[in-house]
Amino acid sequence: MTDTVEIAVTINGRGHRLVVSPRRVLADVLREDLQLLGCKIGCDQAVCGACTVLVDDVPVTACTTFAFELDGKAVTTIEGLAEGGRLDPVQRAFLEHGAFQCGFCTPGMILSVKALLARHPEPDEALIRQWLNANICRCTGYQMIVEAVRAAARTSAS
Amino acid sequence: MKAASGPGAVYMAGGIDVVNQMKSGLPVTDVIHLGSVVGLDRIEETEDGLRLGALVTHDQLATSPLVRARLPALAQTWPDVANIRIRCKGTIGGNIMAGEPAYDFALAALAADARLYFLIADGSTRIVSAVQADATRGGLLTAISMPLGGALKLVFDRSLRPIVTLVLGLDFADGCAAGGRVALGGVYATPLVASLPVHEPLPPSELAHHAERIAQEVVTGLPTLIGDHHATPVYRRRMIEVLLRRCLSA
Repeated sequence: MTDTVEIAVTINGRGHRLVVSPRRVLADVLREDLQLLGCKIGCDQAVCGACTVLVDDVPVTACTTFAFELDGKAVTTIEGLAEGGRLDPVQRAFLEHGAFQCGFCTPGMILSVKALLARHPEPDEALIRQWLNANICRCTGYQMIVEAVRAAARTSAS
Repeated sequence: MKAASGPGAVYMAGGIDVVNQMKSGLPVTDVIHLGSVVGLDRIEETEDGLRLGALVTHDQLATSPLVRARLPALAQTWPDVANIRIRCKGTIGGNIMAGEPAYDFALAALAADARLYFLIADGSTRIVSAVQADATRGGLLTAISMPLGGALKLVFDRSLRPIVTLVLGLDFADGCAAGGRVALGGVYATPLVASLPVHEPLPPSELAHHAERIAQEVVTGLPTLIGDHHATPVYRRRMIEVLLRRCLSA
């Protein structure tokens, strides 16, 4: 295996040329090289959803995605959602509905919701729960999260 | 390329299993990334059936209009398989090649008696039945073909995961069930498929009357099942019988 790979990747709208080991996963590059600490590592095996980021608007687990796979792609992390100091509607809905407590799962949760609403602008509760069934939250019991998603959907529709 | 790279080389499709296995110490020297291979993510109807490229993702399977029209049981089941992240990244080819005991598409391929297309080192294609004992040995899996034309009915029961997953594949000829297979996940170290003892063609309305006998004969012929913290072998055997009877009566 080669020692390093050079990739061109857009992260939160900004182009980067990165030299990475082919064994490094995206979560480590985001957290250690770019200090994008909103990408949390929970289970480290694609189960808990805390490390969810968007790659070309598709939700992926950064803990099981090699950095080299990102060549030519666009990554969005939680740090890239707010624009001009203004929170994204999904972030605002989570805040207004108290849809988090410790906040560890929240970045992955919000990015999963962004992908959900991009594909299904008016999701019903069953679909919301289906999409979030692997974003594990140990604090909230999910009800307020579901309410926040519905509110964000209403905001996006209006 | 894989042969030239030596025994430590692995193919990588979606990559979820490869990354997790490397984290667990799998001694990988070379990763052959298949993600950019053109044409292996197509879903198309051919004279052999529904041909699914090995790089078709679970999400494509769940959302393809062609799959919904031609194999509706797959399309109805797949939105509940794994989670949205794995569905978007994980591929059906990787699902088969992983050899995991309860991976859903591997079970579906076994129950359907799917044809597996492998590209081998000399450039030729090896076509094997998914139920063949050494089906996944050698070559690069490029496509999976499922029978169509009313010849196959698939029934999934995932309600007792991880204790057992059961996929029933019924072969129809002239409107009657002429045979079939049941694929079992989570009950052995690898997926297992058993033939259904259908002794004569049965019209669909008659299947329910034979369900109990067929289910009993299948479980009687099963090798010893695993016991773990989820369930004992006795419980698993009983549940296989119950679920199979239900699926046959569905």
